[in-house]
Amino acid sequence: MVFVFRLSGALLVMAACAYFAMHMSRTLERRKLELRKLYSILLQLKSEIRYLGEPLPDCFRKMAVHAKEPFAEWLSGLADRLDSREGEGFGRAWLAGLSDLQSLSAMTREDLEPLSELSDKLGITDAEAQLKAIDYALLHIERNRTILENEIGQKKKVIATLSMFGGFMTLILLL
Amino acid sequence: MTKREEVLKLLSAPVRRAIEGTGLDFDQLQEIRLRTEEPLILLYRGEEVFLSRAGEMLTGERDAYVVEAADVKETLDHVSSFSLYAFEDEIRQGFITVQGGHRIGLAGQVILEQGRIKSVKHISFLNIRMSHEKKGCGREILPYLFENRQICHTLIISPPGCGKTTLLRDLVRLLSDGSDRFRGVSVGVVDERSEIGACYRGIPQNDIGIRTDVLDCCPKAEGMLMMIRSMSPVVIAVDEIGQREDIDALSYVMNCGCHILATVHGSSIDDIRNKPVLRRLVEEKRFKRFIVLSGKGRPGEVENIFDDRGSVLYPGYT
Repeated sequence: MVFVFRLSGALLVMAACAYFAMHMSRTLERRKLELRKLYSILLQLKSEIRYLGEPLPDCFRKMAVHAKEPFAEWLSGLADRLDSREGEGFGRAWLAGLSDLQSLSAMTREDLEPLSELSDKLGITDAEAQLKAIDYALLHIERNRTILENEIGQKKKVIATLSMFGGFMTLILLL
Repeated sequence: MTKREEVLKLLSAPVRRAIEGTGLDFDQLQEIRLRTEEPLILLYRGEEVFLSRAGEMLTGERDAYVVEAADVKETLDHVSSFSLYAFEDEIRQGFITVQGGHRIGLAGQVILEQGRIKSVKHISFLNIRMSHEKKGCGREILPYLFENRQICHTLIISPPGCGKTTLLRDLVRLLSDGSDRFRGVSVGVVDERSEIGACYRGIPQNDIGIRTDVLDCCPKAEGMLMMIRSMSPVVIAVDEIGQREDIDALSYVMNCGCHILATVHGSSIDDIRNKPVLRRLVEEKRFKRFIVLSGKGRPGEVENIFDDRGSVLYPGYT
């Protein structure tokens, strides 16, 4: 009987470790996908500013219609925040929106760092300066994505190995 | 949205609170002036009024709320929806039209590029001018614009600030809507300075009639030709003609069978004859009606209406 309990405990530990490894790998895949989507959202924002010259809340609302989660929620929340005109400037609203996005997505703080630099550059008179700032953010996002793509296979292996190793160690300690 | 809501949502929180505290009748409010580090001034019922921080109306500037740079910035953020780049052309012209047709005049440091205004930076002065339509001011003179049931080419002559745009807007509305005496016709408005329709995101904020199409912020000469090609209007309305290319475009429009309703700066027909560019149109009797505004009575008050031979059709204000 004791053996059966021990065996089921061991299986549970191993299953939990495998689940953890899978979850971590999926998060990495999600992060890669979200970085790609973020890149295309910024490209869209750039063309909205360059060709349509629409105000930012309108751009965000329009992009929210076509974007998938978590970006749709982030963009529409940002548009609402700007339209409410509760005394906070664009910079504060943008940064608050980014912190919402981080909590909703798999992206890290470092991934969103290039966007936070846009807080004092969007909405100004000079459209060209804004486009350059967006280009700069795009460059960083692309670089982060390339690094992640290069490392993702290796990272997944490390996660799987460490999880299994952790599982075995736990088993040894328990048994 | 009421006029009160339209205006209050533009202001910075401290200025909004001060104005909310007054219990103003927004229909009587004409202007709100924000000048950085100067007192907040309202033009209310034709009088200048200062406001305290608590919203008390004052006759002198002592204890008046002093506008801070942050107030101007926040107001500008709200006016432009945090997107000044989207209003580059308007800023170059010196004003932004907002929801409700209110106009925000702005001043600061002008940036020049090859001798032309590129933009305005360090905007420190704002003048929020309430939109006041005067519906019906053209009703009395409207019948004089017709001859043999045809609309005549009409030129409204007026010194600045005497209501020629107000009158033009009302005539556009009346012609477009029609009445039991005549059928409404399609009117094309070429609104170079966005003063006739006061378009906000392409939608006229002033009532300019159900059959009116507007080309907003479009140069008059090009706009008139575009209008003919694209919207086939019966009447084309333009404000403040005066450039040679405007006159050439007007001649073209008249030859296309469209009727012109235009305004020009001046005080009499003789005044117009003395302008080299406009003289030709008067001498060739292209315009069949001349409406001269007096500038003595209410804005839009008509002094006389003349036909192309110079006969007085409407004695008006004397």
